[in-house]
Amino acid sequence: MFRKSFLLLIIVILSVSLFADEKTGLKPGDKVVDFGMRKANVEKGKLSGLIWLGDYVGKKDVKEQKKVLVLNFFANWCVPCIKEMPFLQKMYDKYNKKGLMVLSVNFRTESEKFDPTFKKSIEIIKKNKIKYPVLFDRFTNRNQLIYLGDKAVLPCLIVINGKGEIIEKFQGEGSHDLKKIENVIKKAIGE
Amino acid sequence: MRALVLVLVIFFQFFAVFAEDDKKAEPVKKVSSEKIKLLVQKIAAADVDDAMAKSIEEALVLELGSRENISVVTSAEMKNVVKSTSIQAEMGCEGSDECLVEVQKKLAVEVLFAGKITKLGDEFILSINTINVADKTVGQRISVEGKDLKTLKSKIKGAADILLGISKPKQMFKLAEGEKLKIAVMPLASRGIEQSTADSLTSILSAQLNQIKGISVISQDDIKAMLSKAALDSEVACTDSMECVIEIGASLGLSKLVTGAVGKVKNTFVISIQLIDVRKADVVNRVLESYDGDESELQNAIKLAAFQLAGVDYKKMPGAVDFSFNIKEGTVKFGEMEAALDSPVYAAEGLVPGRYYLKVRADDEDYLPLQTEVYVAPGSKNVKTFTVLEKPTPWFKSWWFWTITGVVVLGAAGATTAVVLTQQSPAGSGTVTVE
Repeated sequence: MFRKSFLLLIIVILSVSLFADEKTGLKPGDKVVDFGMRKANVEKGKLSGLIWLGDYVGKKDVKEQKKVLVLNFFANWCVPCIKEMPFLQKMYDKYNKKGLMVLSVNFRTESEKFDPTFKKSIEIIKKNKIKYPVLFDRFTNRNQLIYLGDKAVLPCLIVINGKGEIIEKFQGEGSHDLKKIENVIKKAIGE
Repeated sequence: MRALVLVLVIFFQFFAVFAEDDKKAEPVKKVSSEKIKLLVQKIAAADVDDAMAKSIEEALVLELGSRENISVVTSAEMKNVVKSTSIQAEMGCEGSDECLVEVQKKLAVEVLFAGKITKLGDEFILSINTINVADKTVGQRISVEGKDLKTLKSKIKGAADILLGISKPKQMFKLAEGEKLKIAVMPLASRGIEQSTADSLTSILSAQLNQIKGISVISQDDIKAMLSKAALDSEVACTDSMECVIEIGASLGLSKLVTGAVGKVKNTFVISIQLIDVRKADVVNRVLESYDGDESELQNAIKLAAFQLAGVDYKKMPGAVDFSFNIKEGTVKFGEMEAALDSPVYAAEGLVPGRYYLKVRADDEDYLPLQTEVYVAPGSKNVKTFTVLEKPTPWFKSWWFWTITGVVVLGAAGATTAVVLTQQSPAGSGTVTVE
């Protein structure tokens, strides 16, 4: 009886720890997982070439080494995500020449078809005058879930240093503190 | 003064070095100024219009013929020569293709251009290789692909440059020593064969690539999930497969992936696979294997293709064959090797991996010769049983012919007898006069 209970306890602990790990996604201190996604060509309303995370951070032979990369995840239905877009554009304008890169990644649920989602996203990008690359994956949410975790809590903003290490992760309510986010960016750039 | 001497010595040495270099360069010029005689054989067409093959052959002849110091003999010219009675008498042949080789030697043809054009899906694939007539060794081999005749023709100049050794072929991918490569193998498309066969070949290709040191192949599950999503989401127009493949590879964070197709065109099986650099959106290596043989050979062909695709030196990984036959006596020709068969088994080891031609003849005249192509994959043994087919019984020797003949003869004999008997005057007949 004791042995059975002990075994059950271990299984429960293991399952909880496994699920806990899956839920949170990548966290501060973790190395980025590289991926490439197609960038939205806002003017033409189409998808254009691939943009890779590894083009900016985390590799020895990066195309365009940046000091800081802000990886932002948004969904069309996520009002706070859309609200923080102008802030990210402001950060991009202010710190891009000093070594900041901003990449925004679209997230869509299983029920959302790609074409209408993309069309709506283009409207949002245009309305908010977004100039930094906004990325889309037509086939999967695989990478989004790696970073966001299984619950995919939005908004989510991840600050990554030039070595490709996650410095800070602002998710859910935590991402409302724009002042704090700017301070983290400034510190990482070396201002 | 000492410094001046030193400068002079260096000056003269400098000149001496350049003079030496000039001497070394001379033989190259000499070789290139020699006139070469080439023969362009008829381009074989598999499921492709003969006119297209003819057009390609003409384009190749024109291209090669336009080069300085090259004289081209066409296959038609060669056949005409062979048909000439004096040559036939001299060579002791009757215009057969086998005789061509001898005629080539006689006409001092040094290099033979052989080609084949086939269609796989929407793409035409033209493969050309050179054969050195003197030692029958295969020289350069090249394949070009295109969606139409115009595209193929536009690629002939580049192909001719490579085959003639004028320009180097594009540097293809080669797995460097100690290099680590994580790749995905996309499901191979099937063209004229069962999709299940293509799926098994995808698994064999993945397993073989995974066994190559430095390569790790990711699970097929992620790819399958993405492909099914692409298929389900009707709004996602995945029409351009290359675009889709690259997008999937990028999403998986892979720098390279493998894609391709397996097909059958008439009796020819074709494997066409590419290694794609996802970041550059470019094909970094391409392998094309085609053979006339059994479908089961696809397994060995794809294993060989895996090594070729990874750019691994597989020639140092010999393979072996162990063939069994239903005949006990005969002759076996395997590649360049010929042997008498005194048991129903033929085995060979230490073979350079590649495609081999196999011809088996039984001593008994009742058997047809077996001709097929087989593969020796790197470091593996090809074990196979072949059935040498019996010649079909001639109709005049068949049981049904003799049965029918018997029936006809007996019938005829019976009928004749009946006719003869019925034509005799009936017994007791006559004219009776009563007075």
